[in-house]
Amino acid sequence: MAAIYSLYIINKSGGLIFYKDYGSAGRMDTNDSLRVASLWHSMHAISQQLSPTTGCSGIELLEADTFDLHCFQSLTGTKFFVVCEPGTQHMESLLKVIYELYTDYVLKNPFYEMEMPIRCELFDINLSQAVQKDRVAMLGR
Amino acid sequence: MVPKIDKLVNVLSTADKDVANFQVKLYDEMTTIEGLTEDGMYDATTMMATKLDLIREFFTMPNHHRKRDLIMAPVGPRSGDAIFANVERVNAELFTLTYGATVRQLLTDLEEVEEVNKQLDQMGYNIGIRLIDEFLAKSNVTRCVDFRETAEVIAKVGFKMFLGVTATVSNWDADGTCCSIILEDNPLVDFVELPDTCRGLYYCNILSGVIRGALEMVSMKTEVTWIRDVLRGDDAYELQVKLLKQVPEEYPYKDDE
Amino acid sequence: MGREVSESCVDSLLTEIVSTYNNRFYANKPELAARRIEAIGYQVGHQLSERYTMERPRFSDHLEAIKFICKDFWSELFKKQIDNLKTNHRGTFVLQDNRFRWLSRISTDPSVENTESQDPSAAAESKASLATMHVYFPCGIIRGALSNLGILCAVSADISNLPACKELLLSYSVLSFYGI
Repeated sequence: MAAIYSLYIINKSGGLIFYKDYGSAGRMDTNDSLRVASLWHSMHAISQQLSPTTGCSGIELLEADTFDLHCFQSLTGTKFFVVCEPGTQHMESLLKVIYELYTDYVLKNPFYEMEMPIRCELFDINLSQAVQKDRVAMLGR
Repeated sequence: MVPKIDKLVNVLSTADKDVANFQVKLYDEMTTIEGLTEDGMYDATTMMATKLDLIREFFTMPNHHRKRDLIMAPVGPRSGDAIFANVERVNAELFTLTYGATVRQLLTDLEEVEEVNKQLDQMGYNIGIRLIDEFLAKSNVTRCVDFRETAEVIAKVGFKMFLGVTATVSNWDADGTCCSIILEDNPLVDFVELPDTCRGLYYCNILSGVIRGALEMVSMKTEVTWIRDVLRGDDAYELQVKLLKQVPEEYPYKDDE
Repeated sequence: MGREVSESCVDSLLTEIVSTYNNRFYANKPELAARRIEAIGYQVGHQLSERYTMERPRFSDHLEAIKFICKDFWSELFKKQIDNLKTNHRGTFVLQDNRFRWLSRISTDPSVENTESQDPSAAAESKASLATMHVYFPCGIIRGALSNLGILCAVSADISNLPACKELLLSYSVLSFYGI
């Protein structure tokens, strides 16, 4: 079973509002994660403009030698992306589940302010369950 | 008999007496998941049979997670009915009375009916800007091609998913930027009758705020106004939704900036 | 089964009621905000008890009325009963819900205890008071329901281990003003 390295959530103006490291490979400090987030935000936007297909919504998958990056952007402009081992399956489904967890445990938390960094224990707990390998496998039925 | 879990028995060893009990237990747990079809149950147990860790995981999951993982796995847009059947639901009376008590408290505190209309709209807006994401996440709707489709989705999926009722869309203007959403059945107003002192109150103004807030989050500036209101003597609830401008979703910086 | 709406409708509305009163109308007067929110709950409790007791015989004593709140009334609202009921037999009842739905979405910053903020106790306190704002509505509901059953009382709530996911304790002390 392939591994998930990290998860990012970027708000619609490009600010990193959530970052979580899962693997031991490529662990990053805060500055690096912020850099990756803003770089991805820009690349994603540029890709929309450069794309030859009309109505392109931006890069969904970036495949590199050492990792895959799967990105999901909600219609409201929030971007969720996971960095994982090359060839990891079911990442699109996982991102959808994470989006749903975000709507349930972040947006419904009365103390969360829109667009601000996410610091919700319930989100953390539910998220760590969702990214467990077993659960990810369940998504791939 | 518990027909659908046969496969598990084969995997776990048929000789074990506990397996039968276990099978019944799992079957019971599965049947508590509203909306899980026989096929779905078969799929799920087949999968668990190949990954035994999943069974342990399954028993510790709260019910809504089971629902989400086993039924609501993303598979393209879902109908309003299907979503409503699978979200957590509560007694509508509680909602209706809570809303009513809120309107009444606002009337007491603010005195001016106009001011109450404004507050209800503001509350709705604040709700809408958050609720839109839940709507998108659970409905799996994709980007609408035009405002016409957007209006239909709100009426058929949005209203159904949250309030359990559907609305109809009509009265389109020529350029397709203004329409009416008509609601015959409105859970907000069960048991409500407006006293004469509340003339000018748009009792359901929270709804227009929700629509305005939600659409703004998907880059549509709209104006939402009440055209008909049963509480004011009309025969239905009619909301006019007018698209003011659609903010393009391109990268906001131009080359020369 | 009666009519239903999505749980999000109620959740969103409650969150918005609290933020309207606590953050906008009475930003610096939490006790006034609390009173208004409780009043909204009171009316709801009053009306709901009217509906749910329609086909019941009159309650013979307080305990019976409280049991009705713990069982039937709570089940109508939350699809579960109160988990634990205690009394000192002098008119105080403690109702405990281990998984109270309306607080189940509230979670706080897990790192708040670890940060070296200027005054961690003040930060924790402000979080707690924010959460407290969300219990005035259910307190009002209980008080409204009981008062409609002829029991005048004061209801207060105590929230413990709030951010924890699995168990959420919410206990209400229902102080009856006339003895049993």
